Amino acid sequence: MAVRVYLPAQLCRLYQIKPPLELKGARVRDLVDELDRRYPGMKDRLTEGRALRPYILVFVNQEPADLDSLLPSDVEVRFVAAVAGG
Amino acid sequence: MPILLLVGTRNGGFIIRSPDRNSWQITDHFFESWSIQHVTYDRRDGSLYAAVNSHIYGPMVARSIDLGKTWTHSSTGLTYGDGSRARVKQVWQVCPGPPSRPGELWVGVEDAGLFRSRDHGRTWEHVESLRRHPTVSEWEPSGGGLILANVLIDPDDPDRIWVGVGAGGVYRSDDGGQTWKVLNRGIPAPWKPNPMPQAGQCVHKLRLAPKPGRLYHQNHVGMYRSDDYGETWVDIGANGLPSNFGFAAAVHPRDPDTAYFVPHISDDRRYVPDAAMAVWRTRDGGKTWQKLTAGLPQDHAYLTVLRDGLATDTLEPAGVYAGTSTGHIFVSADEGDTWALAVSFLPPINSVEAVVL
Repeated sequence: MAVRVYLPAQLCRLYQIKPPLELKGARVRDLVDELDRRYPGMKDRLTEGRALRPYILVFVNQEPADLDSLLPSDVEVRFVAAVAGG
Repeated sequence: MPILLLVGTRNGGFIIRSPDRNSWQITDHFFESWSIQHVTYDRRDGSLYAAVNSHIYGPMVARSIDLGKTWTHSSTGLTYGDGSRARVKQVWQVCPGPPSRPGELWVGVEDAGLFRSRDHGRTWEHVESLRRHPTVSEWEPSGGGLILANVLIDPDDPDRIWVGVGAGGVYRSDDGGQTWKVLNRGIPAPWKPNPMPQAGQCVHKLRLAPKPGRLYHQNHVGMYRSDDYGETWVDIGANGLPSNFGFAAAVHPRDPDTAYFVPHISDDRRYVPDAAMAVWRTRDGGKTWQKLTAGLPQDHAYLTVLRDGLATDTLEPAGVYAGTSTGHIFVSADEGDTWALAVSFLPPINSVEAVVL
């Protein structure tokens, strides 16, 4: 199913992305894999080991989620950098 | 002859050009909003490499093959693995390999460790032998973290590699990184129960002088010189310098007896003594020192010159460059005798390297 994906501005600049991206995936983790295929290294920017990086949050239709969250149809996923340090 | 200054700052990297070491122009700002610990030039093929970091998005190593106009980046393999308690938090130092091994690169990282690439930084492998050394239990974080911020390769022997860890000490491999020897003889670590431990010393900057076996070393507790590849260290800071604390060191490109340091007041007040900036130069391997201040700020200059903030070029006479925590770069075109402000109001500067094209 199509998912509208938004990424933090710093990563959009790094990869010259204009959000939203239209991706497909059953879980958030699938989106990360697809992002990494399209934008090599993106997985390392968003995750560390098998988890999200400590300052990365993900929201599915504005609800807090994690890498294993299921994606319903007509969904919007936002990866957000936590406000930390000012 | 055109000069390029490669500058790493807390908010991106900069390239600053000069035709003559008198006028300077900022021509490129790359990786805005990322912290760049180090930018270096690879003389083998003209590539630039940058240590690019974010406390949110993690570390990566970037490469430019067009002198900073465009960049690629990777962190593939830059990990200790899921089973390790250690994490690769930042890349601190990028060191191109020897001419005989094109594509080989080394990086030092926080948590302290060494990684090697054989494909121009596209993929990385952990050099596990270093963190398996029996003295690693002596390592502990310095003020900047537990960092490996020094990687040096002997120009006469591509298998001889030195690394410097804060706070862990100096290590040398003579077999391309397979085994390591700990080399801190003569350097104290006074915060330890045993103040002369085998390891755990806090290395700030190591520099190779243009003489086989000679290194200069700015440590947390003093300035040192070795004439035997690091086997023993001579304290060269005790006589004539205003402080034994500092971060940076630089060497003359041709004269192994000439080196530069920037003493700071102390490890709790990390700025230059009397808030008056001075670069100190020795012309005799550290026996005597000259205080160089002409053209440097002498009034209320509460600045720091960090580990990689001091550099020389290869021209005659040699140029010396000092980048500060206040975002200023001071340049001397006469080996340190006189200085001029080249650039001001950059973000806090982590590193400066001068390239003569």
